[in-house]
Amino acid sequence: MALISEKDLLQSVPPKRVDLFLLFPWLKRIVKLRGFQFMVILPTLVGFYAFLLAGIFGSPVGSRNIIVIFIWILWWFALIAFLVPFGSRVWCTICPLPVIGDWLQRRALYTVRSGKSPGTRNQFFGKSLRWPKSLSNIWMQNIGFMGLATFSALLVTRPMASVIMLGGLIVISTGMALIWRHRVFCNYVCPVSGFLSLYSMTSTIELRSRDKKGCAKCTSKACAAGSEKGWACPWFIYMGKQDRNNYCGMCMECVKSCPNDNISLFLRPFCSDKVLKGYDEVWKAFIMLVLAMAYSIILLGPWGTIKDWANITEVGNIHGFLIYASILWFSCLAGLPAVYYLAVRAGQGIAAAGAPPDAVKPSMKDLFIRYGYTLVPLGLLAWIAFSVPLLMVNGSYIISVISDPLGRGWNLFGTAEFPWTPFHPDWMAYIQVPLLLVGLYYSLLRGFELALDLWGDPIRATRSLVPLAVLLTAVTAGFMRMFVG
Amino acid sequence: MSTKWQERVAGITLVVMLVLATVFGPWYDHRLDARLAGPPPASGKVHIFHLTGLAKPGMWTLDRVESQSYWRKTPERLNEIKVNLGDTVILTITSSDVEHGFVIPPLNIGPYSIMPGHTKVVRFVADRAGSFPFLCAKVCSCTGTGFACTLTKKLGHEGMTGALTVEEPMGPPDVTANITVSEDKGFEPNAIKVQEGQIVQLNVTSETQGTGQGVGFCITDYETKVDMQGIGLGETRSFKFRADKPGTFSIYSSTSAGPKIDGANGSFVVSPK
Repeated sequence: MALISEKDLLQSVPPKRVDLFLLFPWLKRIVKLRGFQFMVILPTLVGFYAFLLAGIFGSPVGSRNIIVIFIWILWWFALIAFLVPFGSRVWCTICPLPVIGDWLQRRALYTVRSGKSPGTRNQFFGKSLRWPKSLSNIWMQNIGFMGLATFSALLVTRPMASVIMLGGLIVISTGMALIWRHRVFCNYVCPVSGFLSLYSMTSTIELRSRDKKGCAKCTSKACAAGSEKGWACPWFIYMGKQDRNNYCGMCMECVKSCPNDNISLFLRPFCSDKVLKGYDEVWKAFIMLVLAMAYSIILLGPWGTIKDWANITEVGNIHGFLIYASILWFSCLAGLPAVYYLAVRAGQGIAAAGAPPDAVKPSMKDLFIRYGYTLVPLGLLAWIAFSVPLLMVNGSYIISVISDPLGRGWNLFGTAEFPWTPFHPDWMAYIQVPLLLVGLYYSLLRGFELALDLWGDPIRATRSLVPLAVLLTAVTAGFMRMFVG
Repeated sequence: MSTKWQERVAGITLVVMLVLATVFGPWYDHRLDARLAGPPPASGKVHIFHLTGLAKPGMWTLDRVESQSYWRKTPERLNEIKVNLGDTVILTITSSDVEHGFVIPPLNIGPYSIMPGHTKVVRFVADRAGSFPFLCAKVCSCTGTGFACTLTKKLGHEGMTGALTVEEPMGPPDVTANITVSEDKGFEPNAIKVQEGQIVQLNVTSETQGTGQGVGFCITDYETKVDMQGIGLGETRSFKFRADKPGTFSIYSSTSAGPKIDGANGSFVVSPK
């Protein structure tokens, strides 16, 4: 029974939001199907399993094995360029990595089991331990992602390396699901989840409650605790307080379990979530921006020596690799953070100079964390700009590998011998430069909104942002130099 | 539908799809071989050989080089492919590392460029009896005398040799010659005497690796028949042929296999009927 009328719902939708469930009722009907997640995850799980088989039994040549081409070119491009900016964490809805753990925890493929497992109205299996408070952040994801990034040359050239990495993640997620509650693997460990969480803040989609007051009045809190209609939120989210996309895996269980029909999918402006909440998240932004630059240098740049350093397995230059890895880790963890700190500090000094004694003076910690968001739109667009040539140059491999996924001489669709054909490399700069400028625009725009929020008046807000704006512009110019030459 | 049945349907769907994904590869491989073979020929058999070139350690192999085995296992070297005269031979040739070339010079097959992960299909009828060397036609890695090979003790490019042996179906041999090749003694015995028209079986055993790529065994004027290449240390290569040309012919090693073997000569004497 719906406690809130449709009219009330329409009035309660925040400005600049479009309630997609009201606009497309069929979408809500699909999402509310009990078997929704099972049905969308089944194709990705089977496809992923087939990719793992191809990675094990197929050709050791990366460009002729579907696991490398589909995951590191097609999936990566689709994820960073479309799924995250326009679908938030919709990848998590269909991600096959943690699903075995889910099924073991629930002892069900898609039906709901009522019960009284701690903190829920569902029956879960396994030890159901609490995840340690000290590890309830994304530092492990940060380190994990940097580790993968360090060996990226191996991952994108050797299918077996991808199998070991992805297979390892399945084993870890399944093992963790048997020990800890819900999806702690996704929340705190999965290296992909870390950047999805950061960049989903930019997404034009959000899953929210329609009326927060309705949530406050709700006694069941079924979105978090589950009900006979839906499982307790695997991400530990109570929708009444949900105000960011970061940690919502969009499994849609809350849509099913909410007794008030108060949860919906909304269309919203780009970069609507603007609040970073901890150093772990800010460092994620540093790491992603540095890695976008590093990958641009290694994969797109003209410096053969650096490429050789990164390509440890093919070239075997251990000293060069150590230099490369040291520079990479230093830049991510200390180099960019130090420069960013100086810019924020300088901005604080400029804004505070001559301010009246009673003026708002945000702390350095607040400024450091909150301004960290300015690195998010630019970082995302830099990643998209980096990924565009990846697809344009190597996209033709997709056409050939789809006919011969194992590199065994198959020709399923007659395209196995499709030659490597870069798609209009002359257009790349015309695509990359506008993307970077869009990123810079949103970084500065949201930066100004954050500054206004922090400082209270436009003049001091603008002053405080000047050094950071210079830094962001310099970073953008650096990317442009890299892409355009 | 009850919850139990819903779960059963979901489980069966999942298992069926996983099984289909598992069996598709082997099924398609089998189907591809059947397609390559085509309808049975009027005479002879059809042989399909899947060759993979490896620059390290320098070999052709019939083993399937897969992603999982590439790092941990050295496949078995392919020294010889044997077919009968009149058989249809289909070679699917691929590379697991770098660009190779494939050529069988005496039969004018190739050279073909063999790109990593791509497959070249070659089809021909073995219409000449003899032992025909095949080799890599691109300098794909270090050579046997190169510094890198000396250092790593690996054969590299020059190890990528083998022989296609086309045997004429014939009865048991009239003469069998067991010959050893060694660094210090050369060919032993170094004289083989037969009569014109006799069927001769040569069993050549190498007791040396030569300068890296094994040793060869040839008879002048019989090269189109007897040209064994790359016989490695401890390996025995056999070949049966009809001595249809009378005269005295030299036995020699067709590959540079070290000064003593290169210098060693033997004779193959065919007395007229």
